[in-house]
Amino acid sequence: MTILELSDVCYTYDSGTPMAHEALSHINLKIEKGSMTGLIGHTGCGKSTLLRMLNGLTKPDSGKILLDGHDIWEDPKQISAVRFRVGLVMQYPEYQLFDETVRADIAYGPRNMGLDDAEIAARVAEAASFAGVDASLLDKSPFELSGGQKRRVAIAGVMAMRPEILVLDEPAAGLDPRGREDIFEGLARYRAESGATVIVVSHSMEDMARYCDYLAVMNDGEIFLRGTQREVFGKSDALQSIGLDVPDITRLCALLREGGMPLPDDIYTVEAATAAILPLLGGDADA
Amino acid sequence: MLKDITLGQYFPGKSLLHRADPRGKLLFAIFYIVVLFFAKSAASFAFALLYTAVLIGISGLPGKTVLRAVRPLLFVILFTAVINIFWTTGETPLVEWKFIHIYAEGLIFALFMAVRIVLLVVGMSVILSYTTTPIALTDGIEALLKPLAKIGVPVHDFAMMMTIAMRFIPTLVEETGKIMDAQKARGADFESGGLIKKARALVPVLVPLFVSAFKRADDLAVAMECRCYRGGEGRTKLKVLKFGTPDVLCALLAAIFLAGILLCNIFLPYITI
Repeated sequence: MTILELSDVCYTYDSGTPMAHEALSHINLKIEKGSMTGLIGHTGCGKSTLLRMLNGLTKPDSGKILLDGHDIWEDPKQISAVRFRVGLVMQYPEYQLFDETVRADIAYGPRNMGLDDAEIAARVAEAASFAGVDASLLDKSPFELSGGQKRRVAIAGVMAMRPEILVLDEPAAGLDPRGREDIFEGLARYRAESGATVIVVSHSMEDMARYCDYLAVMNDGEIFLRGTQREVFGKSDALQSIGLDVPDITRLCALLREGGMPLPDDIYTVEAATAAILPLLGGDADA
Repeated sequence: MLKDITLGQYFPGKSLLHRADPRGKLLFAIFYIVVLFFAKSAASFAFALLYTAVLIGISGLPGKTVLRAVRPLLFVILFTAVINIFWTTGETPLVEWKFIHIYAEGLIFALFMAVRIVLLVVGMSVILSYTTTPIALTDGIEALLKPLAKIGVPVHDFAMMMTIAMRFIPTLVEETGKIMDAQKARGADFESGGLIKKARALVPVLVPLFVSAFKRADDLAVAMECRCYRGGEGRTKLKVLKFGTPDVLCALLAAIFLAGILLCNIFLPYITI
């Protein structure tokens, strides 16, 4: 079932001036309810602009954004209600922290929703656990935390609104491998337990292969490729033509296949590769 | 609203005013303001209008851009005009009703004052802010204030502070937008409610803005020290300011302005204030 649909969305920056720049050109995209969709593309291809459309921070010049079949701009006064349903975590969201304690900062969103204190406390605890914010940090000042901890608090601040659709712009940018994994595992857990839909931008094909069901590739303000992992990663030539690539492990398997190893051509994660290769070498795949 | 700030809004160009030395332009701008206050008669105000239009023409700036500089001050201009209309007394009453007395002199005075404020803003924008890069401007200010260094005023440090402040205005404007968006995504509402509610809604924007400004200042200080910055003593300039032909022409322009206003005051003294 489609929960979010972009229909012929166009957007131009500084339109009507000599600096005009078309950021989105006739975007059509459907997001399945409960899915995790990865958005891939080069810097400046329009990803961030697209994400800003989803919760109504930017209004499209033309075209519609349909949430559950209703145009989100039908009643511009109700746009904040849309923002509670579609939670957006911006790029490097650490700068949004402002309150005295981590607890109060995570509670900012739910408080704006007008919830009562008990409900807010429950949501803060829940969001902190999803985002991997340790309970001992809740009473500290957000400005005492490390970069990775701040990032998690910022993500928790959006999760605490319990959005049906969680949108994240490079949530793991600049983090170490451990930090990346923590963030993505948290997202997967949030999705599994709340049934939410997740849309995530990342430059890491490995992360995309590991966590996303659907992929959409953008290039120059247009949707270049979209579909399941197989449908997108299967077109490695097309990806390479715009300077992107399939995950490293998929390339390795392709080389092994050329060398005569009977491997399937839809291996996108290290785990899948291990499971496929070990039996061929006479090892135990479960080991 | 953030887009209306003309401070530091340099408009690239190659006109006479763009090429003139910032020191000369600063003096020109001060001179322009002083002379504008000499204007007394309708003819001299008309001359000032014409003269400023010529300046805009020389600068090659689009007229619309120049007028945008006036927009943030529209309220102030209207306010002074209204006050002048009602509070100026004269000899030719136009309206006398209960406590409201409007005199012809008041109307004229209000009009002249409004013209004067508009010209002040437009003139300053054309001579300075639109045609001078912020760096050149602070260089000019530093050079002009140099004599004060003799009596212990830290001129160079002030100039450096100004340069840095100007440099970071666009950065802070952009950052404010980013933070506001992030808080809007968490349901912040900056538009509705009374004054107190609106002010309180800004806390989640101002706190991160200050935090990052302090951090930026810290980083910048370290970066400057890494490059051995140690204040003004013995420091040389990459771009040495030199007076040239454009400055002579600017001085001529200034002289024409003074002469024109004074001549209009003396020989066409109709409708004066």
